[in-house]
Amino acid sequence: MSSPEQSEEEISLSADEIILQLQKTREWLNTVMVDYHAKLESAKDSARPGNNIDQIQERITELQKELLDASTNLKQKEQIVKRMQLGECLSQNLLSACDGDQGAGDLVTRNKETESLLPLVQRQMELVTKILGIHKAMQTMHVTVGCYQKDRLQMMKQCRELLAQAEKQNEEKQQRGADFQQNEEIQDAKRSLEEECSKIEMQRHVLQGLILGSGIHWAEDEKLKKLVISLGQPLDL
Amino acid sequence: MSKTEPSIYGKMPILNSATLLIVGCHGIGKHELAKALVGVGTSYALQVRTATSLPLPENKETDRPKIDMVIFMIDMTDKRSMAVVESSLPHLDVDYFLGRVCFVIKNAQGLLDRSVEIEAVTQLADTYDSPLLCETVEPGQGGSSVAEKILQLLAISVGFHDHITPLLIDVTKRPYHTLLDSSIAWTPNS
Repeated sequence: MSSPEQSEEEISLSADEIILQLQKTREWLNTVMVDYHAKLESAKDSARPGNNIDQIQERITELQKELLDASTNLKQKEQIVKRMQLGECLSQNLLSACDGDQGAGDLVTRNKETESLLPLVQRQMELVTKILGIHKAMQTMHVTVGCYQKDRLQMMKQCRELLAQAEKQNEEKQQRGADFQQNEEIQDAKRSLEEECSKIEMQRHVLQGLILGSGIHWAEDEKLKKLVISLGQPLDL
Repeated sequence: MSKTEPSIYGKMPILNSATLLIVGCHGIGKHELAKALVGVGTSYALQVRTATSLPLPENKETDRPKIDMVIFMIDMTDKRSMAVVESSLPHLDVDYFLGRVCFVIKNAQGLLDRSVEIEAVTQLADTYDSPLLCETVEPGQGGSSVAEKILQLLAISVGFHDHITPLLIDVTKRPYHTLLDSSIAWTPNS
């Protein structure tokens, strides 16, 4: 590198340092000024007559909250301004074009940093667009999944209601069965029915025995044949 | 000889400069601490002054710069050091107690040698709402960390950190209404 360019670079570096120094000095002066203003305000506040300790304590707590909120907001705004300034600077570096008054023979010159940054920024834009698209699709799917979950819950609720009904009916049936077992009249009716059935069975066996013992050819008569076959089958009332 | 109380707003601040005052009885190690503070190295001009008690002599008032922070040193094995600090505190302007005062205690580890109660020291720190830092027993060990902590507090009190003031640090410590009930001492970066 030639010496005039080197000295130019040194001058620009020291100019940057000077600017930083001035900025720091300005910030320090602002801080000192705020401190002195606060002292003046507190002196005015303490001149108010009739303040008791509780009121003072409440006031201090309120002021502390205000200080915290104001400090947070200020820092936030500073961050936003800084980001905007950096973004502006970056866009100026990237999007700086040649001057339109130059002739056709002049070449557009860009520094190496701009050339390396451009494809990265384009790639970032593509990725961001992709991410936004995926995010949108995911949101739609989330809504669908939410509907399906709702339906599932509804169906589960219906299933449980039906199951409860079935259990109730089962219980009623069992209760009726238990009642049937315990009811005396039903048991008496059941016993008399069984007795009748056994009488009928005995009579059927006796008739069967008579027909077979009499020696008649029951198979030749259609009616007798049917009767004997029916007497052999179990009783079905 | 008449005496004067240091006041934070009595003199104009000097650009890129800060002044510390260390108050403690004879032989407590003020100069060792001062050397440790200067040895850390700062981007601003640091001046460290020492005094055996407050108030300060008036005859040197015109030569004295604005004092940005006051450090009180207490030796746990020496009751005299505690007495000196207790007698000096009322002579300090009340504005210093908003983040511009710090207590440094020495020889806090040895239980048998202790003649000052730790509760008395913590009570003092709570009463004046100021941080309490411990210096380790062996010289050279941990001295630099105390010096760095003190310089951090100093940088905030002088205004070298943008939008960070001792009052803001005080707010983030704990709410004011719990101050009177609390008996826990606060130390920065502990």
